[in-house]
Amino acid sequence: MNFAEFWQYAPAIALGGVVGALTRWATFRAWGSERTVAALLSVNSVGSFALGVFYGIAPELPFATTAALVAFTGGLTTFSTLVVEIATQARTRQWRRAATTTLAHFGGGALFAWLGATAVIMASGA
Amino acid sequence: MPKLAAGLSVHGNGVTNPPQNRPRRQLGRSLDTMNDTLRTGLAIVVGAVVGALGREALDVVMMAMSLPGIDGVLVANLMGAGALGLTSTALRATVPSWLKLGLTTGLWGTFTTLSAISGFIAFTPTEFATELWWYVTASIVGGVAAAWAGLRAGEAIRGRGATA
Repeated sequence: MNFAEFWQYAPAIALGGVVGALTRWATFRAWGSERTVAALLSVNSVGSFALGVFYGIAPELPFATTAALVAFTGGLTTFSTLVVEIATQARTRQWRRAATTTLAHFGGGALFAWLGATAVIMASGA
Repeated sequence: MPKLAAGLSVHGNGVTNPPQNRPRRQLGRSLDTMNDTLRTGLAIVVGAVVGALGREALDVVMMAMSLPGIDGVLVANLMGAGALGLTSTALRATVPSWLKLGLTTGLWGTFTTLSAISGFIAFTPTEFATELWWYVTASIVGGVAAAWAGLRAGEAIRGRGATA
């Protein structure tokens, strides 16, 4: 994407980002303040799965739609909250927990993305 | 709440209110909660617009610079990790919660992304395994280091503010 395309697709990117962020906020509210770890894992897993699905169906979609969907997954998932959580666990010397969180989000995220793309391939009967 | 007589009660401030005021007070409380939720939602929307467009703009700039092994997602994630660590600790209790959530959940939460990294790990061809290894390691180690530095800087700022 170049700057001309960026301005062309900016409304779609903004819309996707906003819907993703509001969904993330609603998810954290639904889980409650006591279960933020579970809320974080759910948004990152679902967002990664959705990215895999969009990766699978993107060739058939208009670019603006793809931009909005990818921005949605970007807004739904969050890296900053995750690494602040890991850093907080490391600062309190909860090394095993920090390692588990890292593996669950990065490894699990990759697995969910792959599952999303695989689900599209299986659904299309290829 | 102690009952005085049929339909009358004493509240915390010692004022006796007739029962017909109770629904109005409950309605007022509900409206306050709704206003708070709307204000927070609006702040998150504004933050998310800036965050989503900021990350994409950064990606366009980084693509134009074409630095090997570094893209806009990596730079946005490292910047956002430090900024969230700083913001979440430096902001004092007097800062309204809607503003905090607009900055943390809205802006920095949307500026950074995990799904892109998940996609890179899942779909990068095996011949680029070395580049992928560097990218993921830089994201994790750099992200945690940036968050750690942000948390410490935020605590220092808040501590200085408390002693001033």
